[in-house]
Amino acid sequence: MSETIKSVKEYISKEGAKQAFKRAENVIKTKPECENAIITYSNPDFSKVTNESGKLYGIPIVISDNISTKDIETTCASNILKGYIPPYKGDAEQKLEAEGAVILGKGNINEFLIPNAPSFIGDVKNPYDDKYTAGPAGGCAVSVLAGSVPVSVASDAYGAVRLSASYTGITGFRPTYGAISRYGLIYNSGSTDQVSILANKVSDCATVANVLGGHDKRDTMSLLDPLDFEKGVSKARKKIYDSDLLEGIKIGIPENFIEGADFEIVKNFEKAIKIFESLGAVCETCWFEAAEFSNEIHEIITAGEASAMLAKYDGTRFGQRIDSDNWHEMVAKTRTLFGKSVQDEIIFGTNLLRSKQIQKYYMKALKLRTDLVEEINSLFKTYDFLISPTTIKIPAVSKDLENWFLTDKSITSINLAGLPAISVPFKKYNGIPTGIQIAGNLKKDSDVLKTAYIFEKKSKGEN
Amino acid sequence: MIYENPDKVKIGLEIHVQLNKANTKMFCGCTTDYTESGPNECVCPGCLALPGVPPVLNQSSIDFAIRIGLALNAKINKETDFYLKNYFYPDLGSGYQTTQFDKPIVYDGYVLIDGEDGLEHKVRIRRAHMEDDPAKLVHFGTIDKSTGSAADFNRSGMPLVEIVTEPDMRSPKEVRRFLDKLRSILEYLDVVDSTREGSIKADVNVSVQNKTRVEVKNISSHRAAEKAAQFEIMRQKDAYRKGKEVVQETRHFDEVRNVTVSLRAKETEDDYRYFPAFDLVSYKITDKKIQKIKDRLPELPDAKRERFVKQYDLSEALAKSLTTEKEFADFFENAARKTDPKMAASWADIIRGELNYRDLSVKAIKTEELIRIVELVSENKINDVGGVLIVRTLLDEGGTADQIVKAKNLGIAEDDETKKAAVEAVSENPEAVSDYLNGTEKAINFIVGKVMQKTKGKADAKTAREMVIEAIDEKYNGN
Amino acid sequence: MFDESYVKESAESAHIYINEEKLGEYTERLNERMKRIEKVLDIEPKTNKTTINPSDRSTVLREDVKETGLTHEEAMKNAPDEYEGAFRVPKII
Repeated sequence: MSETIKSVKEYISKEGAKQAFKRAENVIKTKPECENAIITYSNPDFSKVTNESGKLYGIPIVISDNISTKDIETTCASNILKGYIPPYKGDAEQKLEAEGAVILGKGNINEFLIPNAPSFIGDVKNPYDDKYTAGPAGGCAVSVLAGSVPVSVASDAYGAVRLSASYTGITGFRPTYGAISRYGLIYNSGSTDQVSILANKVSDCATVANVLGGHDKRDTMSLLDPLDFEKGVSKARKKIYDSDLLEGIKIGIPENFIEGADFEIVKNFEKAIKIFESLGAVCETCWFEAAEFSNEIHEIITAGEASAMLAKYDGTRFGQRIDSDNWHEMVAKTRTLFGKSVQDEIIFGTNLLRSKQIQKYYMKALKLRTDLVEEINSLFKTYDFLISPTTIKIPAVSKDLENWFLTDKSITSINLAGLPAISVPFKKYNGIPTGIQIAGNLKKDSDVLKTAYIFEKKSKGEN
Repeated sequence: MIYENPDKVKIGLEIHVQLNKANTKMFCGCTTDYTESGPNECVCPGCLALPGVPPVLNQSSIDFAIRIGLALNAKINKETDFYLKNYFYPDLGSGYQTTQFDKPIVYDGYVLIDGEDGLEHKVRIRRAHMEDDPAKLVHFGTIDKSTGSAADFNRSGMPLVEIVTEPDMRSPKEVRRFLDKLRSILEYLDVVDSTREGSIKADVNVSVQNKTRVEVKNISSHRAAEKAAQFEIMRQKDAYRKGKEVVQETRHFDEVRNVTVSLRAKETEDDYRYFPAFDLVSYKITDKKIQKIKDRLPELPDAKRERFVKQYDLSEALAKSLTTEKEFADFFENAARKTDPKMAASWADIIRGELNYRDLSVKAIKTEELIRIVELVSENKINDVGGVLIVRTLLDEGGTADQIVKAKNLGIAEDDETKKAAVEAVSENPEAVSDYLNGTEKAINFIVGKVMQKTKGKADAKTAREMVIEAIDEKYNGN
Repeated sequence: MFDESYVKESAESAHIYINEEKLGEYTERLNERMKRIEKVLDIEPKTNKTTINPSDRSTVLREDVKETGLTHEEAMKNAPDEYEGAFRVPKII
């Protein structure tokens, strides 16, 4: 499969890895829609790019700036981490390099990926309408869209990858929690974040997921048995998939995922349902009760976790420091280098964990999360997949990003349960691309990808 | 005779045990053996809390904690989990300590000690939980008047077990005994090398007359714990006698002045915002795992002591002395298998005293030497004084028992030599002789002492006594 | 509704310095945020069981085997201030 990667490989075989890199760099540095896309460019040593038989030999790749890369500045798009040069390689970097890929640079994201926190170098504008944002992982998405790189590796905290994919008309795949190692992923929310992939085509996502996947003993959440993203489909379904159809596949459409959506979005989505049905799938609406409060529990849990995970930025061992003659004061001042929205997030999370509040909000959210997971389990007893628009909202207005917040149950419920989900581009709304989300049960990643692939093929030309 | 505890002293302890016998730290693969290393030489992105490193729990920290729980006669939680305790301090890289909350791995146990009344006294263990150690801070100047500090993360992430007792100790002496006993158990379990700096630390909670409880934090030796408890009891009793109240607070023990001092009171109560560690799901402990660890548990001090009493016919006290340290017990037992066990026991005990005096470990002397000393004494080649001299020389100068016997000419004096010395001593000490003849039986000991002096201790004391009496008889009674 | 002193306490706990005159804005934003999640106050979970992570297995343990960490140079590379190989910080109390 891997259509885009294949075409890039073709010219790499002629021009060589270094030329391909220059071509990628040239695209991103000259195309106007790529403004702010990259925070730091790498300076690769091509004498070390030797694995010509590697699955990704010579392929330039953008890695999001919240993933640790050795000797390449990694800032999480925050002033507080300016100048931080990781002394170690994250797992993603290691695995990509082992297959011959070349890191082009660090993709721009929201500050620490927080939904309403603009990057310290400025937001990445949406190439279809620069009034709007390209999404929380905008730099990663735009570098793919512009054709600079065939894939970008980012992470899907707060739905960053799926939202950015949806907003820019590319594909964003979030694997099952633990299917790709988090070693080197600078997460705020350890229980919902997951290394994910942005690409032009579903097949490219699968290829790169196979490179990144597998057990990593450095991540305690890493699945013990690796998933095969390309060929791991359920045996019972293989034959159907092989005929590029979805005959007999049962698809649930949680009504409440679509609640509040604009008429246009619903209309587009109905067309998508028609395509699934034309492929032989049985589509049925359903009610996902627990998703009614998934946005709230997601907001509580991610903020609580973030308040702890962001505590390490104290100006003591790395990163920026604002001097003071007292350590506590030094830390409090240094932490004003977080942008306003990140500060709010930390204070919000800190307050939720205070002994006066914790039972009322945080612990309750953890119990409601159990309800949610159990309901999902029962939904997947009936359905193979859940589909919905990836998001029911248009992107945030770029200059007004600080007032935006995440309200997609289709994003939050999936992240809380750690399910695999993909956003496939389908049509536009007000000139801005929209995506269709296909979510599957835990470890059914290959089925999700295959179904997305079949949908992608069938819906060709309808973007 | 039941100890009445007139002041209703209640002391509870929280003991932090650094599991430094594990190979690696609690959540990363860094070595636990950093004593010879410079600052920040045994660190990785994990224990340095650089961005992007998930924690992965060390198997040994779980196994060691279970081992400790079983040895403390405690229950093991079938499902244990971790919480994050949030606070800012420069030694805490991540900004939180990973610890346990309402499901500690170990709960509800006890340790038996010798009580104030000489009876067996039970100190209940409320719980024992796992947590990670922060980094080490060195302050420029004293902590309150310092101009700054330096943080070394070699210690950051060391696995700890915190053992919490009920307030069951009734005197400072019981605190000392409990800590000695606990250390002994932990050494037997091979989970901690307690000779390493800061490997066992205690917080001491003291109350008297069922009133306010005061906590004394961060005490690093058993002696200091005893002293801190002593001072606190005195201070609190004194306050109540004067009609004052005792403030519930945390105090610090000043080891130089042997007093506890109040730490500056905080304006607000710390809120550590404990919440479940989302990166470490709960750990389920199977009965099979517990049984496996139980099966491999070494013989513990109490069991070994009882066995020594029975098997080698030793007194309780002697058996206890021999079993305090596992290595020492092995030292004795290796000798006991090859020679007379009772003699080996009393000589081992003498050696123990000499080792303690010199602050040496049992590694300083080989079992073969103990065996040889027992042989030399039982074959009457040396006497007890010579034996002790061998031990001392061996520890101070080295060598083997046989070499020392030869070099120092410690062989038992021939009868001729003793006889000569006895005759001399009798004629040189007429007063003592006349005391003896006048019925002061003890005067004979003085003259025997002189004989020992003359023979440089080589004479056999019993023979010397016989010969002194003989010499007196010859001289004064003419027989 | 939280008042400014509550927000100040939370910010101090989080070690984030807030200028007195900005405290009102922070308080307003926090209260908006609290309003957004107040829905959970009215829902009763069906269960008492918490889910802290999508992984429902027992924690996977690491073998107690040493691994190579950072060199001292690497460890100190990003240090804002250093004293004899350690991280130097201003006075703590």
